[in-house]
Amino acid sequence: MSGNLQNAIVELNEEVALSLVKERIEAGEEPESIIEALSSGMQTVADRFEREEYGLAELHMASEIYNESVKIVESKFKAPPVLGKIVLGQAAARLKDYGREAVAGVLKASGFEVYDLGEDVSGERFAAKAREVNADVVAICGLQSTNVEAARSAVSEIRASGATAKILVGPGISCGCQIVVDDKMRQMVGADAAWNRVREAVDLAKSVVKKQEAALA
Amino acid sequence: MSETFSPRERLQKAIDCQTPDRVPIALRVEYSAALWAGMSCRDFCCYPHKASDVIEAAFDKIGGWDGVDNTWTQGVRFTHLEPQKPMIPGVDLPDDVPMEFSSEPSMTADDYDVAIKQGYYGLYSELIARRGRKFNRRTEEELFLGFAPIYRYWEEKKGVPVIRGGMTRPPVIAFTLLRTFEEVSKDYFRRPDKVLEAVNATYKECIQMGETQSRLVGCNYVFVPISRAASTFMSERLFHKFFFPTFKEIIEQLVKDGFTPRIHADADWTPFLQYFLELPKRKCILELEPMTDMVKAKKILGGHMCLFGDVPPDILSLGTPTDVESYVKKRIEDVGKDGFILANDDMMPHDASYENVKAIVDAGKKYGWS
Repeated sequence: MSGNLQNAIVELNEEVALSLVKERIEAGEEPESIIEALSSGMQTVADRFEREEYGLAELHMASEIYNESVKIVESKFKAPPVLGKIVLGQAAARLKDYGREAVAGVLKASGFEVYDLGEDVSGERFAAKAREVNADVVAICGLQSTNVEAARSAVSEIRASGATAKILVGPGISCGCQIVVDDKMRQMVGADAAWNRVREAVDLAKSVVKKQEAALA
Repeated sequence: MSETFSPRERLQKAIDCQTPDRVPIALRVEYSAALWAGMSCRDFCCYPHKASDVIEAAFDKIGGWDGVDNTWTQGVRFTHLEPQKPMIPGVDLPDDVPMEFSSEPSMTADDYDVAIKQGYYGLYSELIARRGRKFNRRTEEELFLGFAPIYRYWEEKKGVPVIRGGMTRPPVIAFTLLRTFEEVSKDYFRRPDKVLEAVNATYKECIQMGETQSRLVGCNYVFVPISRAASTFMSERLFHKFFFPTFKEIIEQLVKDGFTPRIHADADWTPFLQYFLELPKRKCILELEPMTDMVKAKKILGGHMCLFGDVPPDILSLGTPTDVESYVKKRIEDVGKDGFILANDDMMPHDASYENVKAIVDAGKKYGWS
């Protein structure tokens, strides 16, 4: 049964996925195991994206199915515990970033509570939200050649606000203004760490939370 | 080294996948030229003649190159021909940044039916009318005839080809712009038959639009942007289903009618490169950016299609002339001097430094000789 729900997400079959979620709730299954099956399907979709078998279109559709499914689960049960809280958005840029929603989707499916602030996010908004929700991570997505300065300024504002979140930065998927976020670029922006692939964003966020837990233990 | 080819001959030799006297250089200079000259971005956006003048000033100061883009038309063209709300520098934006479009979508799911019933021009007319503006074939004609004298000036007085006449977006590319990429991504799965029907109902008019615009300005290069069909954006299955068959027909028809398609392919095309072998041989330009493996592209498409690219924008904004020179030298070494046009990748950032842009031309003229 678990395999069917995973497969429905992997094969991007929205109708089947949503009806399986409803069936499993009605059959009395625990919400955690339903979410686990959904997350596992999303991870496979993310793997296919990394291997270039799927594009962003598939990743968007999978995120949509995942989000719709989680809404159904949450309408029946209390929301399951989360790994950590992430405030995410794109610093002001000339070109739209097509990857932000995909990164948000995969982070959600990996167990994080994600507050997606959208595009053109100022440092002030990042900082205010990070403080409001006591975020573990601020993820500045969509770095491109047109917004390095805006991202750098956002990082300064977040730090100056007293927010304790670690700041991650990752590249945009836009047309024509791609950059690889290497260590030099990370330092230029002033972030704590950088990702270049969706998977790396998840691993970095997990390692931040793990370190924080270890520090508290 | 002395030049034995004219810019036009040099470009044509590269399109023929042969080796000219020197690798041709084509730059898409935009708002940076206005800022170098102390002109406001509003003037560059709103007044094509003024925009052409500052590009000419940069062209002369740098020492010239082989193909210029029609960026002087951009602000006026986009304001009249695109349904999205334009945001004009000095009006809706600060006066030292380029024009943008509001990200608000113009097309709903129901508008696939408008495309199916009324075609490509009908869809654009309808969406532009909703913004309180008018668009039809006559307004298009008036607009492009107005640009024609600037084209003639560059071609006849400066002796430099303008390498973009009209533009045509294959249907799914247009839909992703009008409706947002995210929504069309979902449409591929939620209403695939409707999307496909709209693609099939509109692609022939796409060809007409590109050809008409090019004829009106007397330029045979047609710009065909296809970035949102790259492997970054869609799987091979979606590519086959929604994009490639009609795209291929668009390119074949343009070539048959005597036009040179400039296939503008940002994002990662590496997994799809072999498909370009199905397009007419030695008739098109394929514009790539560094996300695509240019060396692999040359290996697969060498002798079949002229490659164009790809000095990245971040080097022009954040790097030094030495960085630019190293990039150009390596690119020419990697790709060779046959069937290659040296260019900046996609739009030139408005904060590109003059020295870095000049370094593209200097390096091309230093390392590009055959």
